[in-house]
Amino acid sequence: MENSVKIKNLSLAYAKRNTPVMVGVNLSFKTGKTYAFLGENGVGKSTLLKAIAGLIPNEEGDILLNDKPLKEWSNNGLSKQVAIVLTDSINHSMLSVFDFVAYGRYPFTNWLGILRKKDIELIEDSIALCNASHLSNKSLNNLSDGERQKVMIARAIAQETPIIILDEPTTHLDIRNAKAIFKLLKLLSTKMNKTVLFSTHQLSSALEISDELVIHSPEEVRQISPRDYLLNKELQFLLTGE
Amino acid sequence: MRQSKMKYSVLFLILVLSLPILFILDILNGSVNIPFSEFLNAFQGIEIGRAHEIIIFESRIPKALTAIVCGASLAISGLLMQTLFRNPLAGPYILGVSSGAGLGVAIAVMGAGAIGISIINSSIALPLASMLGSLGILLVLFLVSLKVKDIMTLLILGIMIGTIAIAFIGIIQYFTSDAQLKSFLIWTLGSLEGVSYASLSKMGSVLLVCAVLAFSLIKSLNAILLGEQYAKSLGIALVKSRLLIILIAGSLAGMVTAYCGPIGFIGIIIPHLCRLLFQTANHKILIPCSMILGASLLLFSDLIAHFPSGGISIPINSITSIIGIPIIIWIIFNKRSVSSSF
Repeated sequence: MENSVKIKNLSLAYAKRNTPVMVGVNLSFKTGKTYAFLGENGVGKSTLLKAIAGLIPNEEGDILLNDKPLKEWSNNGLSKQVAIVLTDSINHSMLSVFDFVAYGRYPFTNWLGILRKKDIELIEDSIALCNASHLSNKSLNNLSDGERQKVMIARAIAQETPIIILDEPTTHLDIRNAKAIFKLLKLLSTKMNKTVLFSTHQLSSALEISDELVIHSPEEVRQISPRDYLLNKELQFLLTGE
Repeated sequence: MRQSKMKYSVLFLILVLSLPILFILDILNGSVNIPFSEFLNAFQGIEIGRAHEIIIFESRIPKALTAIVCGASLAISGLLMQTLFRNPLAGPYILGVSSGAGLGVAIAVMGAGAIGISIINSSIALPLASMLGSLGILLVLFLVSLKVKDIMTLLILGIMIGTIAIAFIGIIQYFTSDAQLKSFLIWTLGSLEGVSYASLSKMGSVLLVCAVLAFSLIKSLNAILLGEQYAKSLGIALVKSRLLIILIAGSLAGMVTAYCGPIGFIGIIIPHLCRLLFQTANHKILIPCSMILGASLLLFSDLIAHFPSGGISIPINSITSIIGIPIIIWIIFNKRSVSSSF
């Protein structure tokens, strides 16, 4: 199976602060697999995820998307490869769920953003896949946290990218909603063959659904299978303190 | 959904129809009232008397056209600023961009005066100075807004920058000759009157170019509403789009200020009225609706300005302020609900 994302000797720094967040990171993500990014708050999970989405420039090293460095991708080209769900909640009162999910079609529509029949079908399918069809005409600011998160993911699905990145998709969600979101992420990789990268603090769910874990510590970033993690007491202590 | 689409189409039609009606009313009403029949005759080439002909063609029509161009320009400028700053209180007047235009003109008029050239009647230097002034202020504000996200802080900064611009104007005035000062003061009073057809065609061209550019940015403008990072991840060339938005918003505000002086509050209230009327954040609808509503509201303000009998006319800026300020107060009191449309 081809590698969809390769990270080689990557160094990242926080914007406007020269302290490096991470140095010499090497990772690789395969098509159709799910990867959970774990680690303490502030250790740089979001920064790394945003860098993979091309939102943050890297100091050194390379992020390769289908063997082509991120820097060489055009804005539009990249938007057809990677979709991202950020932690900032959007609760725009004048946007309906449908309108918001329709943003996912932006990389594919003309300058006026006119939706073709195929686009509309895709938007409706994406909303349906997230079990949110009944919310379609609702305004974003009238949604519950769980509903809003589903809609955020529906927008990323509508973008039809082979890679989906989600920064803490289950924060603020109750157990039932969080479980539903994790199930959906697994579905994206198994049924739709997408590469799913997400950060979370919910270790048990991460172990359950992901093919590999990416564990951040202040010293290094390690990629490991859930099975190997469970056998590695040292790494468990590093992550959980137990 | 189809029903609401129908409702909005009817609303848009009403908006479009209101424009020619207000245009004609604005031509007919004034210190001398012109009967509608004479107006029609004038257009059919039937003799109506020299005095009324001069009033219609030399005064009222250029003034009404100026109102349309200025109203539409200010409305686009305000809409773009609100989206750029993601701030419901952004607008050319309130952010000090109009004062920036004044500063540009003051520097140009009095600077040229100092070396013995008079440019107050120049049809190129003055608008150019005005546009550069407003673009400068807008650029400074935008750079500040990258650091300061809070709605109220930006507003206060805008007022301060506007005040500094006015202070500089004051200092420049102190050092200039009486003749230069007088010509500058006359310009600052501003009104919709006295704009020649030649100037109107220049204003119309700037508006046309800016409106076309604004339409070309519809997707970028919509995406910017989601925030910088989402816009980027949707493939929007953010730096280019933002610079173009500043160029359009600054040029339009500067142009209006150059020809008509500072006209307040149209730029800030019109986009809100359009969002409320059409319940949308899509610029595909907001840009044309703001243009039409802006033009209509300025025509309406001009109608009211000439309402008192006896040849008195109220300054247009007073009317737009009286209409605009209650709406701004409403925005401030409803800050949470209005902010959530950004």
